[in-house]
Amino acid sequence: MSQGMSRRDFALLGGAGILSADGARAQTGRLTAGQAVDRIRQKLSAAGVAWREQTVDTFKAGNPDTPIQGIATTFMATLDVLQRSAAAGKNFVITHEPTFWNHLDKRAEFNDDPNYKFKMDFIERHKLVVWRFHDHWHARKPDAIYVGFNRAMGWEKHLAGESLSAYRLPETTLKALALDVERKLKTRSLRIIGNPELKVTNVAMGSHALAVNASTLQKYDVILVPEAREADSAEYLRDVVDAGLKKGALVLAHEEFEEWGMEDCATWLATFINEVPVQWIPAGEPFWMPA
Amino acid sequence: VPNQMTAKDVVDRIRGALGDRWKDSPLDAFSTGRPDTAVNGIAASFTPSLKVLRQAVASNRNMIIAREHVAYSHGRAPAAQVLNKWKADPAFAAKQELIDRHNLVIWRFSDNWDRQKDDPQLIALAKALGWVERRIRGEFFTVPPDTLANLAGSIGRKLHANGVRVIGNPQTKVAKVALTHGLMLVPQLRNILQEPGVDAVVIGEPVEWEAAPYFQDVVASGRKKGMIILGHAVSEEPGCGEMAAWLKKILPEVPLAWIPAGEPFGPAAGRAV
Repeated sequence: MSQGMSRRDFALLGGAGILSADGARAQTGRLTAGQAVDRIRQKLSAAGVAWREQTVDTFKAGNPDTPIQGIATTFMATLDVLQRSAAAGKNFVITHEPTFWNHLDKRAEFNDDPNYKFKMDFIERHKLVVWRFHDHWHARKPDAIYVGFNRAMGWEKHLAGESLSAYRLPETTLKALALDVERKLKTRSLRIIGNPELKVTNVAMGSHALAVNASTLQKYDVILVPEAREADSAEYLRDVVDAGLKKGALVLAHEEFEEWGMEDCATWLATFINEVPVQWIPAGEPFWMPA
Repeated sequence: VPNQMTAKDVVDRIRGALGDRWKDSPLDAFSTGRPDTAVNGIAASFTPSLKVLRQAVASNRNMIIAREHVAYSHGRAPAAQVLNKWKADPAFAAKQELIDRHNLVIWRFSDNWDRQKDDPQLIALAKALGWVERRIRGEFFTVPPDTLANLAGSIGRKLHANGVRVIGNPQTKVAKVALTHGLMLVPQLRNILQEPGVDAVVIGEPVEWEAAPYFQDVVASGRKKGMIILGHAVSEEPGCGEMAAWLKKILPEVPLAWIPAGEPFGPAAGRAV
């Protein structure tokens, strides 16, 4: 038992085996979403990740006092993910990305929005609770999102030095690298900037931000860009290629980079939440490309 | 040539032609070069990419009028400050060297071009798709009934685009389309979706945690619709041809050509999955 754990948590752990269809006992005895988050915070704190004052990691919908039947972890709490979570009996959804289509999950502009109402109605009808787990999952050492991506690509053995996002690959070409990424991530929307025959050894993960992409690319042959703002990053990258610098980029859907770390999140949660099942529900790639 | 126009004369002519519609904007400004430079010729383009600048030089045009910023900036910071940040970047250095060697002047025409009546960027995109006769009103068009997959494929071919992406069920039936260009934000998307019977929305670019998942949720709520994402450059390119045609009309004495910028993305490597 960790030092931070309350008597109540201990009692809950002890009672996990007898939680069942017994309504009265379930009401009083089951782990709530709020208690699960407390436990996550304690676990992270014990691992040296202090909770931030300013964070997007907050409850986005539902009542934190709701008893949990199951936990779903996901890249993004899209309506589709919520529907699949409810169908799988997972009423607590832990999402890496926003629920309401903006980074801070601001709601004011959505009060009369039919898409918002539909989603909220679904959440309420199924008594779902949605909590975001972004800043502190990234803050884990090593950053759990990069660890998940490296596992999905099978690139742990190619890590170059200390960085979790720089790789030294057996020599390949930009085209072969693109095919390898498509195959391993099963992505159907990869976009390529650069000469397909470019020789590639040193690869790094880029960013949404142009400044990061520009400085990273100076040191590597190719960067993987997890969602580029086209008016800046894509335009810069084509100048790099046209300047004759022997470099290139692969532009990935945002989800294709960050999905895998939330699979690891489910595994991690199950090591200290054993009262209820925990399941990764992949958000899936939103895009496909026409033939 | 004593009567040769300067870059500033060119901009004054544009302001004069727009009349009351002109509004000073930090975007529509010289990003590099001296306004008193005598103009040999003008290249109009979506973006002053290195490739576009080289083509301008090769055809002896020393003034470039483009929708985007030479240093990839969204725009409000002073040009000198933005360019200074890029001094040490090897790709931008190649661009700067070309600009200096050929004394190029680059002026951005973005906000005020978008203040033109009747959204010429949209009309030009509709023309490129062969949809002008299909316009209902505003951004709404009817297309011959087909599937989302076929419509997206045909749009991609007509625009010669490599990077078209789609959200929605490929088999969704499509007959009424909203056509837009550039960055799509959630409020605009919400307004479009209030139009009854819209089967597909064509856009330039979404933010992947904003308009894209908003649309995914629309689809998951049971509304059978699709989103076709052209790519920012692809969606604005035909309109920049229209911009060149308009400039030519008001600047008949200056040699002027549209230089298509193309898209940043190359052909797919071949689908592995």
